[in-house]
Order: sequence, then structure tokens, then C-alpha cells
Amino acid sequence: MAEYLYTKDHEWVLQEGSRVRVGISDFAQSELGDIAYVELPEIGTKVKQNDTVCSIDSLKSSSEIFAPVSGTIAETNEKLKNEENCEIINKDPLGEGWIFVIEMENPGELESLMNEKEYKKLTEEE
Amino acid sequence: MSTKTPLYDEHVRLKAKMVDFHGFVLPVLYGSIKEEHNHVRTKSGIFDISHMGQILIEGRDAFDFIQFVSTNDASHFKNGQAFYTLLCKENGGIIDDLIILKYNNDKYFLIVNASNIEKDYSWLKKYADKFSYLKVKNLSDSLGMLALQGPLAYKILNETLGGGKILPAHFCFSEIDFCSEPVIISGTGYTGEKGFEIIASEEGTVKIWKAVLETAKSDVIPCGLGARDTLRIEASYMLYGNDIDEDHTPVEAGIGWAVKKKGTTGYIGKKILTGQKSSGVKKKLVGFKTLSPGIPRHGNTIISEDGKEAGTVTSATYGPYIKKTIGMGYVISGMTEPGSSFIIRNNSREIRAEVVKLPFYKR
Repeated sequence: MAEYLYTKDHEWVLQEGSRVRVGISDFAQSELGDIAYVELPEIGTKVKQNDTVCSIDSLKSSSEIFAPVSGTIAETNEKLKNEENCEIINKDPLGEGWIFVIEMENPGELESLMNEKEYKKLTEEE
Repeated sequence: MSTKTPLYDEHVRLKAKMVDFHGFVLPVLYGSIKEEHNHVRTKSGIFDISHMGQILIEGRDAFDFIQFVSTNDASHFKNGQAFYTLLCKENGGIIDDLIILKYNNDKYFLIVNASNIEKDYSWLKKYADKFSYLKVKNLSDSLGMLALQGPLAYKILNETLGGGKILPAHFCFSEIDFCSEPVIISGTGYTGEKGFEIIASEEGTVKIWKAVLETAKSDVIPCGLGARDTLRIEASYMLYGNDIDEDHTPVEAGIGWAVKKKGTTGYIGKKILTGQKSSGVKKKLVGFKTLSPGIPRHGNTIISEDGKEAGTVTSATYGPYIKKTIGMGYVISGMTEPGSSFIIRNNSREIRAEVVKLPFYKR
């Protein structure tokens, strides 16, 4: 089974063949608090690793979500289009609360991400 | 250094997320802002507002003094009533907004913002010297304060006090004994719901907090500053330092109703404020709702449809109960009518918004 990988910007990544599913970590959702809005990217948008893909608003603050890898946006979580559903990111950040899927251009970029243990160490330092 | 309120240990025990707010350590949330917000709208919530300041004005000249330093017309209020008013500078800039409890013409109890306690106190002292029979006392350090807000607040407080008490009506207050301690109960609040603000000694504050939570069980939940802010924005109440400050006048802020009518006695700021009331202002605080995704934030620039800088956002949030993204901000005249649209620059994105009538929410 594929394992969750993480970026330093608190996105998680789960590989599904040539694609990756992306969301925000449990640490990130708890720091942001109640998510009120997610601005989803257009399907078909090409992104480079570390590019801003979309923004996410909680009641307390706004932040940006960056592309963990380069590629093309292949899917977005349509449920998040309804503001009332955005709380699924708080309730199930690593599952139901996924945000988008990228068709990877260079799977080698996954090497640059952290595993769960390394990520946990990062959040404990913050 | 941050001051702990009498309820600090309770907040820690409830695992609240604590923040520094104008020198006080206070809970921003206990679980979720959204849940706390909606609990206040549908049942009730209890807030630690011990950071608020209390200043007592006493003496034969108290009425004349209040008329002189604050903008609302104190002659309109009876003993036992509470009223909203402002302290303004000569140029009309707002020193603070406050609630005054009128005991009688010789005794007024002021409830002021945490961020302004020292400033208000020295401002009041400065003018008090011009009056012969007047005492100004800052009681802020010795008192705690709670807010119990929501449709069930009356029932809950009544049960907590043992039943059969007559609680003050909206914008009235009374003193009662609770566990043989004097407590002020005021029918006021900052949420847009019915409810009470309760002022007691530090010990009394803790006793009442515990008694309310025990009596009301799941009908009440503790709420933090996060929900206090989203609730007050839905109700379109001003937050000092965000929506009003020394650079804006009550007339610009749309709270000119709390300024005395033309022809009444002299008060600080009268000349400018009556002038603005009759000839209008260049910028005005409006409410808006957004038309495109994103939540604007305090300080974001407002741009007119033809691309010119036209104002600033002062407060904004997603309204968890009304389920709309809303906010307030100052815009130049000509853009203040409901239906006027503009663009808000928020980081790298632009959020479209439209002026709407205030308040966003009214019970």
C-alpha cells in the first residue's frame, strides 16, 4: 500500500499509479481551524512543483496550497464547492477531505517529499 | 506580560487554545469556532470577558460629566438602564466605544474595551478635574466579567440563580446577590442574541461560570474570542481597533445614532460631529457580502469598478450561521448604497463584493 508523503508546507500526497492525490495534513487543519472556503483549481491546469495551486480559507486565516509535484490537475474534490461541506477537511483531512489529484509529469519528484516520520518531526519543531 | 483572568485554570482544564489579547491570556476557541457560534445562535454560550474594563463615575456632577465626555444623550436614560455611547476627541475621532450603566444621576458604571482601559481612564481623569464633585475609579483589576448569550440565556441564568428572580430586560441592569456576593447583571451583549453580561468579583466570576455550566448541561457551551468575533460581525457590531479608532468618527462609522441631536448641551467633539451629521462625510462604513470565493481580511484594499482605490476592509468573516461571507469597511461616498459593487484585493487574488444593508443578522 502506498504511504502518505508530506511537503514542508503541510500538504499530504498519496500516490495512485501515475497520479497523486493531495490534501492538507491533520496538523495543518488543526492550525487553520474551521475551513470555510476552498478555491479549487481548474481541471487541466498545468502546475510546476511548489507553484501555488489554490487557496484555502479558514475562519481565522487564508493560506495557499502548493503543488507537491509537477503535472496536470486531473481531478478536484467537487464536494468542496459547497462551503457547507468544507468541514470534511477538518473531520477527515487525509481521506474525504482530499483537495485535488495531479497527473504527474516527473514521478522522480516524489523523492523530495518527507515520509510520515520525518514530517512528524517537522511539526513537533514548529 | 500577560494577565491571567480568574477563569484561566478553567480554560486550561477545558483544553482551550489560548492567545494573548491586549495583554490578557484568553481562549480563542475550545473546539470549533463554527460550533461555538451556532450554539450561541440556537441555544446558548458562555464567554469569559474578564478583560473588559470597568470605571465608576460618582458624585453630584456625574450626569453633567457623562453628558460632556460621551456622545449619546444621557438625559434619555432612566435609572437602571444601560446605553451604548462613545468617547470622542475634539476632532470627532473615537477614543473608545462603551456601555454605560446608569444607577442614578450621581452614579454611572462604564464598561470599556480591554485595549483602552488605561487610555480611557486618563482621558476621563483629565476632564474630571474640571468638575468639582466627581470621583473616577478604575475597578478593572478587581472585577471579572462573563457573558451568557443565546435564546436559552434567560432560562439558564434564572435556573442558575435558583429560580423566581426577575432578570433585567434588554438594555437594563440590576444588582443581585449570588452566593452572598453582589453581582451586576446587565441585559446586554456582543452577539446579536438576547442575553446577559455579568460582573462580579474574581471569585464570584468563577463561581457563576461553574454554576451556569453545571445547571445548563449541554444547553450551554464555553465560547472563545473566535466565536465572539464571528458573532459580532454577523450582528455588525463595531470592534475597536478594527472598525473604529481615533482616525474615524461615529458619523463615518454609521453609529451617528449614538451622538446627541443638534441643539443639546456641549460635549467633546460636538462641532465636528454635528457638522458631519448635517453636511455628510467623505467616507463611510458599509457592510458587504462577497460574490466570489475567498474571505477578505482586515486591512485589505477596496478597489472601485473603474480600478481606483476606494477604501479599506475593517472586518470580515464567513458567517457560520447566515452562511455567507460578509464584512465591513470604509468606502468613499458614491459607493455606499446597497447594490454598489467593488473589488477587494486579498493577497494575490481579487474578491468581488457588493454593499448590503446592515445588520447581516438580526434575531
